[in-house]
Amino acid sequence: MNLDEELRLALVRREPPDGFVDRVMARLEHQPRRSWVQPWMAIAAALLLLAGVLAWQWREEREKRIAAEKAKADLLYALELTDSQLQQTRSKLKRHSLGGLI
Amino acid sequence: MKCFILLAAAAAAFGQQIDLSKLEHLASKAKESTNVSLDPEKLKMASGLLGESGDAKNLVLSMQGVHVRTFEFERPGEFSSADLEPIRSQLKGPNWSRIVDVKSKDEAVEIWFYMTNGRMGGMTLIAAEARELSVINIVGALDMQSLGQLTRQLGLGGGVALPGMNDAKPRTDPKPAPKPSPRQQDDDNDDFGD
Amino acid sequence: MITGAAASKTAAMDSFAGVVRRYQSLVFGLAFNFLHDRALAEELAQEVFLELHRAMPGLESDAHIANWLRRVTTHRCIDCARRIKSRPQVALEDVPEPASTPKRSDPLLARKIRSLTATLPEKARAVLLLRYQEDLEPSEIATALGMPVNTVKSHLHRALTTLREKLERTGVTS
Repeated sequence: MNLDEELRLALVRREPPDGFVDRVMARLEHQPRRSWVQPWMAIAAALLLLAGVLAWQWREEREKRIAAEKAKADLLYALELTDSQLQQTRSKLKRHSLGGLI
Repeated sequence: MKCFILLAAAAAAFGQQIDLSKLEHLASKAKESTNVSLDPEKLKMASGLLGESGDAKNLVLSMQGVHVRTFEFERPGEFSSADLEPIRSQLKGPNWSRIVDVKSKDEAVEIWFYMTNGRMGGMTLIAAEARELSVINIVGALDMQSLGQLTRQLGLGGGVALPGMNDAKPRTDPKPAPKPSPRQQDDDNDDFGD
Repeated sequence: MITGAAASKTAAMDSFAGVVRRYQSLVFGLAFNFLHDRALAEELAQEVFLELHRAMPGLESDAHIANWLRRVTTHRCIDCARRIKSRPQVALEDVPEPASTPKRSDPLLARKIRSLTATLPEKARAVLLLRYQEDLEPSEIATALGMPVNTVKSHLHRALTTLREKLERTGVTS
């Protein structure tokens, strides 16, 4: 017996059962499309987006805060100026016994 | 409905608000000038920083506008009464009444109230000195008593002249701490009473 | 009416179907000769072709495709056999044989050889199959399996020795 030859004859390529190609193509048709986007890329993109949104929100809040602080400072200035003028005027009017006017 | 209310409020504020831009020509002659213009939106923003409780926030929210122009000049005589005519002409409406008109050698102060059905709807103050001019217009139902209450609650005024009053710049430093009352001082001493 | 994109997709699928047809005996043959289980072999073969479809853009020639298929199929067979963790317990004579047995071989001997091959350790089995089914040189087997050439030769030598001894024990003499 020539084992080499017998092995070649025994271990030949084999045709699969009928319809094998059709079954492969059918599975291919129904296979969910694999995205080139790896899971870690999707997570990284989501985190980046979240960071971007949070940064924008923070900036918006900060700008609002700055505007509010300026408005408050302006208001306090205006009120102090008004009060000061009224106080001075009241003092002058008191000298003429007219301080009760304001 | 909200739109109607806003329109009504705007219409109501129309008479009380004075156009201070008529004084802008003085800015080029002034050494320093200040321009404060707070509309309802900015007043709302400012009120948000006045704390959640207390009347101060409510008083500020009752105002519809605060407008200030101040000018400081190098020398006396840089402005005259004629420069104030565009302002005074706006105060000639039927609802405006001049309550105070104080004049001395170097100073003049006019205080105008806007009254509707016996209720105050606004105030304009014109204070002129030799080298300084201040015009303040407050729009809203804020009478003198409320104004005093507001300044007290915010720890302002108290009859002391504004620090840097002659700088004519909006202050950005925090409001001065209120002076402790004598009673409070005694209480403080108790901390060391042991 | 088929749009341009749809027509292109159909052509691509037809082309791939042709690839499957061309190499199905290689893949199924390796799987069946390795696992000696028809259902498992078909399942594995289908998986290999699905993976081939994904890898196609990176494969440049028929030879490239064939080498890829040998490598992937063999590795999958080794993994599958290890998962099962058993040499065939059932009498291999009872395993239904697919068609395509060459006529000039002794069918009984061929069957015996296939059943004894299935009892070899996985790596030795893989070496034997690539050598005798695919007619690869030891250096090519070494590349496909990612092992040194001398290790391939060692596996081959031991596998042949084992098969010869077992065949002699069953009364098949050279």
